[in-house]
Amino acid sequence: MTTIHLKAAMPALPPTPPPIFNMPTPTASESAILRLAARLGLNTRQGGGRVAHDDKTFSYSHGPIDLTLHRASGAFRFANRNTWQVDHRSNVELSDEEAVRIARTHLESLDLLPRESKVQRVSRLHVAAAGPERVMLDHRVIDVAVHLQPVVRGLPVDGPGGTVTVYLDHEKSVTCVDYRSRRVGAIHRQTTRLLTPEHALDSARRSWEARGIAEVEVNEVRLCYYEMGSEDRQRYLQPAYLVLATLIGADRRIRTGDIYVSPAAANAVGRIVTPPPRPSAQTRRAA
Amino acid sequence: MTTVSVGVEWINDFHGDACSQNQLVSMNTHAEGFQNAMVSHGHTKVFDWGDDNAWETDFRNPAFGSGGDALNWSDNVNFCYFADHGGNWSNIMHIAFSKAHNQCLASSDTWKLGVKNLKWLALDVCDGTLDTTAAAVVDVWGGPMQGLHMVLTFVNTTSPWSASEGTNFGNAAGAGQPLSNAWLDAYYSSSISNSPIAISAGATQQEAINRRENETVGWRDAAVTSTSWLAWKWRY
Repeated sequence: MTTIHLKAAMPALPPTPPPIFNMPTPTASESAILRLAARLGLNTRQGGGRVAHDDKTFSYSHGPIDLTLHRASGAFRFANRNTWQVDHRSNVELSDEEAVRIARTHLESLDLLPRESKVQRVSRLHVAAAGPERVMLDHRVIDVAVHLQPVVRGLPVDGPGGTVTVYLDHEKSVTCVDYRSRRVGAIHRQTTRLLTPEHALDSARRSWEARGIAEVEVNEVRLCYYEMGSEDRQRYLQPAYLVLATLIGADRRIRTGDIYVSPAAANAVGRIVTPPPRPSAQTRRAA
Repeated sequence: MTTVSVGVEWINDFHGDACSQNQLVSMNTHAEGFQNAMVSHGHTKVFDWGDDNAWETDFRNPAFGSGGDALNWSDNVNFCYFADHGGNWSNIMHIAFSKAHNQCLASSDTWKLGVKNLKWLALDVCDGTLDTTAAAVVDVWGGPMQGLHMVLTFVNTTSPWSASEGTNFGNAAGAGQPLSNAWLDAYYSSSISNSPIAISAGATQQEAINRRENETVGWRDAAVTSTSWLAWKWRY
């Protein structure tokens, strides 16, 4: 029996159940990445650029710019390797508000701003050092990242995918755009009824019991559209509950985070998350 | 190209015995995904121990007795990736094992990381540091890092979010990208509160910072002569 400490309020349900959408198969090819590069302002006809591919991605490099396009999802990253996450001994002093304004303006100029979005988070890349005196020295922020979350029919898109991130350096210049947001197609089917958050919590409880988890703190329950990571193929965008929890170990000193994803539509299509691959076979190790 | 040797350990399944911990789900995909990606870039697989085959003695230095065998395992490879439960108390890092060989918990006060071959340790566990203050980082890692170039871990608890995280990190690291950025990029998530951190060592402040910013697997033979300084980088 799993003991659950509920520390979260249940999310409010929308007045109308959000529908299930198709997600079109992304176009990922050499010509697609060249078109994308041109759209992002790279002069692909001038020469000097190089296209490469492997089983998961296409990439285009031109000078310090790396553009990567994922076959499975159409997600892409446009990064300047000379500036993205690089410490130029500076300190970024952008406020959240200014960073969000710059990020939105930049995406808008490239026609990449989601039709509707909300700020999921503004994160900062910190650096620090310490010597024998154990005093923190040289603590600085070397970039600010604005993470936008597309909103579809009033519901935020969440998951390992479903974000558009713009990274800014100390000169307020964009160092990287990480676009992990799939194209949403037509409605696949209407949702007949939304399951309740309590249903998701019950489902999570059963999953934890099956794993023999004795004690859990539930920190947050979210209602969202669930989007998988860049390497996964996804055919449908479906409403889901995310249950964010902390699993508490028997001696209470070892705790770990856990995320349970549960379909929110009573008539959900297929699996909402891909089951993890099985571990490689292990033969008993000789002492 | 500099090739590096890679060993991984991971635990999903614990038992209802003295070593009992909560079951985990994606630790194999993280560790083996990392190793497979490294191998795909020409690096060398040395060991892959999962569940009851992962042992505490693989991390214990023989100077601390009790069958310490780190010099034949974790410290006999250049890059060791460990995915499992972790806990941090009394300024000592602990990692959990499903079988007591010879202990259920490995403690960082029995580690001498890097005295032989180990250059980089990825600890894909909770509580690699409890916060990002000098005390939290230096008091836990200053002692165990004895030649280790870098430890890559998490601040506070972490949640496995995507099966491809280990693969993504292995691809970036194996291809020669700076390790700190590869780690932060693969494991940061804006949706949940994962906060990855990279901690590098050096005899001087300049060396520690240079490693933090620029070190790749190509720096395998650029030895850390002393861990007088630590430099760290984290996204929050």
